[in-house]
Amino acid sequence: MASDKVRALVIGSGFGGAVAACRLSQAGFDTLILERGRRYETADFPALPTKDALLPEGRRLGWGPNQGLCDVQDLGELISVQAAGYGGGSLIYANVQLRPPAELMDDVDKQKRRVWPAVHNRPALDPFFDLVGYMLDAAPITTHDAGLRLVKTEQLARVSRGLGREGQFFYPPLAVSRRSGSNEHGQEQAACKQCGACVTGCPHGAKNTLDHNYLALAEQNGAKVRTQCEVIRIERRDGLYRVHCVDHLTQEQRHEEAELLFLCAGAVHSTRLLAGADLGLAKERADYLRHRIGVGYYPNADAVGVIFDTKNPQYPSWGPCITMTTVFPGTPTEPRPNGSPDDDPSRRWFMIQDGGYAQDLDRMIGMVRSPVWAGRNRFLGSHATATVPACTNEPDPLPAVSGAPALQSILDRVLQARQSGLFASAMPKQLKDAAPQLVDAVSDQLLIPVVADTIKRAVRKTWPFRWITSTFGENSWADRVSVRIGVWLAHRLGDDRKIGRHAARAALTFGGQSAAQFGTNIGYNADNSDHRTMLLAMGPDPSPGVLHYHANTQSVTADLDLYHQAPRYQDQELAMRDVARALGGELRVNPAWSFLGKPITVHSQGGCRMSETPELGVTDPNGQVWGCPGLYVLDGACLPASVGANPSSTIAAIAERNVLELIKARKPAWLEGESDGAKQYRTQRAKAVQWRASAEALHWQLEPPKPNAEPSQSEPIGLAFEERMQGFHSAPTSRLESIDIETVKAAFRALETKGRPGHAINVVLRAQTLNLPRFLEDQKHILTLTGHVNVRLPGSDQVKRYAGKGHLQLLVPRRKPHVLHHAAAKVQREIAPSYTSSKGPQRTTRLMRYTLNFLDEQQQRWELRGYKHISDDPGADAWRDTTELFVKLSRFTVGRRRELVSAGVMHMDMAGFLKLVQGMCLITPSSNGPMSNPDPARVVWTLVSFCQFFFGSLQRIYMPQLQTMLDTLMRPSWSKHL
Amino acid sequence: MTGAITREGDVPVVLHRRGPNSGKGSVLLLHGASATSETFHLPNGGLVDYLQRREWDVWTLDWRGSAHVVAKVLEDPPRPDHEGEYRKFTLDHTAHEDIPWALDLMQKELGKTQHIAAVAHCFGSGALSIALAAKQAEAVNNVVLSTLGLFYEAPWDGWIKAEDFILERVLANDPECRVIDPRHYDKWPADMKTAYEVFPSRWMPPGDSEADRILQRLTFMFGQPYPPEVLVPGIHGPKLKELFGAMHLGLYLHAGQMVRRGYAAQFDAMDTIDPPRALESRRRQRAASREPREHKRVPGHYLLPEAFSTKRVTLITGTENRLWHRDGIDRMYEWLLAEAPPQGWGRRPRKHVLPGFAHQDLLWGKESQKVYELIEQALAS
Repeated sequence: MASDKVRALVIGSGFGGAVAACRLSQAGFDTLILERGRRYETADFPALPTKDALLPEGRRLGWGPNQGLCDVQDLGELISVQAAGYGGGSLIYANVQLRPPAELMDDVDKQKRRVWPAVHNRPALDPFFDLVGYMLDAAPITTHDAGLRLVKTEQLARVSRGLGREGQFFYPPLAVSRRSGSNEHGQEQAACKQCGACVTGCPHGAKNTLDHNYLALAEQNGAKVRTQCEVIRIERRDGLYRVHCVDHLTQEQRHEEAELLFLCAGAVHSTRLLAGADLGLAKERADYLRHRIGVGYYPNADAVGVIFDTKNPQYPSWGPCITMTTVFPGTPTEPRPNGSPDDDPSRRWFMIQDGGYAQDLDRMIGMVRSPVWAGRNRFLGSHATATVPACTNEPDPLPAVSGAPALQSILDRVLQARQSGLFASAMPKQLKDAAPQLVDAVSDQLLIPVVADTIKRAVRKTWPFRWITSTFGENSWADRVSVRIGVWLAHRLGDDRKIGRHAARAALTFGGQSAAQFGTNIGYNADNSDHRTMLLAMGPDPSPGVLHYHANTQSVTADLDLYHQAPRYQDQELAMRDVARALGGELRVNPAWSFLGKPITVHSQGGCRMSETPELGVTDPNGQVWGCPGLYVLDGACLPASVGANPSSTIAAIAERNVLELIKARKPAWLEGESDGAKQYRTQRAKAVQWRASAEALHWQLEPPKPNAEPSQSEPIGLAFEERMQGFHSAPTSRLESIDIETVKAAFRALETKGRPGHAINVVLRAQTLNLPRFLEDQKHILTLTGHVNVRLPGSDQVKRYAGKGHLQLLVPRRKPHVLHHAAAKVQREIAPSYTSSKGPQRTTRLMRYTLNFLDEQQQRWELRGYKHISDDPGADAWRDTTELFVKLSRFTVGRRRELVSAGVMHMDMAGFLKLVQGMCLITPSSNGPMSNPDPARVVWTLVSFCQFFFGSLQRIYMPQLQTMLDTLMRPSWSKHL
Repeated sequence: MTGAITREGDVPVVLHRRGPNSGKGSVLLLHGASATSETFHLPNGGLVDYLQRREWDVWTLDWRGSAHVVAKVLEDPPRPDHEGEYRKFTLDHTAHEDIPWALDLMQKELGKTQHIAAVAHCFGSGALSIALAAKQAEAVNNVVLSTLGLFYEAPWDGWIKAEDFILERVLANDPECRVIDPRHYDKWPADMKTAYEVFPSRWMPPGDSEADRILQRLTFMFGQPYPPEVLVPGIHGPKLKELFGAMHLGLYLHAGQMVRRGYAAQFDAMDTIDPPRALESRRRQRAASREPREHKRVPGHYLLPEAFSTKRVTLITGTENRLWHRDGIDRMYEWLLAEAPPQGWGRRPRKHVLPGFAHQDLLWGKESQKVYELIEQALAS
């Protein structure tokens, strides 16, 4: 019999979905939760069999084909990690229940519009934050029996005091059970055993995950749950939402229909599902919505670092994952030419939290210190002087795990298996005999075609063959013959058969190393594991990114504004280095960021942002998608900006508020009614008020404090060099503009000739950046210029020397690249006017832009502007392009109008270039001059990185055929911006 | 009545009442395939003994997967229609004939209104699940399923063997073959022998004694049932020959089909090969046509939840189970919660995945008392 209740479908069971399902079922809606992951009870979290007679298997570790716990997605610009399971992110989050600062929710953009809808402010949301706090039984670590004895917490507290951040240090509320027995919602839980396994799934049932509270209540109130049911498509027909899903339990595809649909699948997946949904809208309206979906995506500036070999033991596996938080301000930086909201350090606060992990992960964590990842870590030096005395507490012995066996990594088991000879003995005799032939067969069938194809592609890219291909067409006889000749020539260098076999053998034998050697070489060890601590950092993002939906693959990729985002990671790294120094240890940051240039986020937010008007977002302030009645987004996707703090509490509080608004609209009398659900809800609200009162009485800090202005003591490394150029100039007779760049260059050169010999101009410029990694990551590659220009200005009878300041943009593309769809780009500019996409097609032309301002004797402002045009023209022109500066000398008249006075060309000679290279030096912000006694390794890394950027950019323009070879090598983080 | 009753007919299954009627209730125990009801009746105290001491009226059924029953069938020479004999030795027949027959007899003895509890292990549990799904065991109100339900998840070495279609090759190449007996390697068909020889020795438990050999063959046939060191003394030795015996090819074939498919369905129902790939291809099709395509379960499947919503179900397995992967029990649990929502929060199915336990040591291990306690708690609830 069909139910007469309004049917509500909730996709996902994380902080948004669990809240929605709980309240909807309390209000009497016929609620169905669709969750793609498994149910996890204490014995169910990922684990490998403890016996190693069989090869390891990784079921339920990754989402993949077996519906495991962790969904790790490469979104292109970043790596996103989220949970897949009943309880969503609560299964593997670090229990922190913080609310964002009130000022952040009252933030306004450049047009003075509120970023958050007016109804979403802290006073309005606080009752809902309290409700979430009560439901999840949040309380700081100080309320735990072992809380004040935890060494890692105590040590970091001392570090914070030592670094002058006493007022910014606090213990955030944690949703962790402090006592065994029945919780507030009638669910049996154990007390926290301080085992540190929070982020791999609590084996004791001590985390207050959502299945112990919101979801349990939802089921008790009649909500139905389908786990392992993955939604693949949403459509709207006749006013009903039809959701197509794949049931991984029974391998069947099914569909569900409902009047109300709640998208709570996590920011990335909710955005993906909404972008791919067929909502039955008119094309114009659908396009309007489509251009707004995905715009405004935030990774919450997540970063992770590990400090190795600390002076005193830290016991990272003793206590819950996060126990304390310190707030830091951003580091003061060189202001940008046109200003940026990010220039103000107070807007760039971020938090650093301790990060515990299960003891079994010691070896995995050891990989982070691998020398392979060391590169980026060498850029930063620390002058922090705080040192902290040791704590003498010892961890209690861990109780035997009553649930899942210890989680070990697959790699651990593979290495063990190899060491114990399992691979060899597991191979049947016939297979063993056939192994050499098998290797040959694999290399013949798989690798040799790949090698041959790579060579072929490389040959096609070299210029004579490229010309033949473009002239005669691909696969024409000339193309085929010439490529064959090229391949034959390439084979003189090495036989691809040989290369293929070497590759196959190396892959099968770890390159000939023993398992132990291999493990050691990649840093896979647990040496000194008590003397380690992990740090987690996060903060509000300076600029939103975009999630792009790809209809053909039904997937999304992220486009981040690394121009604004990368400095945030720099600041975090500097603060972590302060902590490392104070603990007497060595910092290693996330290898994915330092090595691949991809940040990892576990706090994805945005993509379907709430807004006051349909122009600026996807949903209304109540979470309902504009123009789609009954369709709600209630998870992290609906946040209009990143919250900076751990976002779970904010997501749940907003879901609490929005779902209550929905219930009030649909059932106005429910809240005051006498139904069991209404009574239960009212009781919970009343208890939330009590919870708040007790928190205030005990002085729990529920939100991050304001950062003090004290900058980090660690400093980035900078680079400076001096450049001398000389030339001639004369007054132009025509405008120096033409579509044809060669015509313009010729005009400049003519003016130079005309100016000889009487109108000489020469400059001595010092270019510097105080933060080289930031310079490399920043797409505009800005160096500050100081120096002087020697010139005879019109009206003056002699050559004079004028001191000036300015900036140099080194090897930047001719235009600001934008890969966004035109309409989407417009929306993005609306919400983030300074947005700079870090993606873009590879440019074949780059510019070096010089700007120098100076004042003459009459305090008249002058500007010397110039550019070098780096482009591959016929002939060997690289030297000329990089040393020939086309300049314009302008005077600012009344009204700040620029009046062109003269133009010409300046050159750098060979001696000047050699002096430039010789004079390159490393600098630090504090000294603003050469570093004294620099670490030779840092000098090498700095120079190599700069040269790699400079000459790498030139190589891409003048020798693109080397690209294929370089693509196969490991590239540092900034290479994609070249 | 007490003692054993043997059913007349082609397949002489045996129902055995292990003691007099006691106060707590009646419970039917179902053993696994290739084993016998002696699985529960060890000389030094098995589950039968444990339950009887706690005043349960214990019955055991030697269903058609029992080595004793198969041995009796083999006493008769092959009949002209023996080629179709394997079609009678399937879980379908067990669920539709053997279990209802036993339950009818019990109800005749105990009274129609008497509810019966059931504890089943391994294949017996698979058969009982099918019987429950097909409403052939309505008299059972409380059921403990050990290691297997309606979902068949093998460790990956088991999955490889199933995908290798060894048994189908035996069926095609050796029509005379009726059973596979782990005790008599010399009688194995040639295809089985070949596969056994290339099976990696490392994946076998070590040892050269006769019991070790039987264990190695069992490991090859099904997956390792137990590590010898965790069993109570006296089982992994000469007694092992009495506890395991021949398995009929029909049951074995049915098991292979279900491992490939992942869930229970009638014998010879269509296979579902490689679900993830199937999902991917569906994604592509959908993206091409923009029309969702409905994919249904195979005809004849047993994923019928209706009957379960009125039963009390307890699921038990071990984390180290290498015969049936614990995922099968996990899936069964989630399926029951999704498809057969219990009538009342307190009647939710229960799941116990016991750390350190494998498969057969749930019943025969040194630590089995813990499992017996859980079973008794489940029966008493």
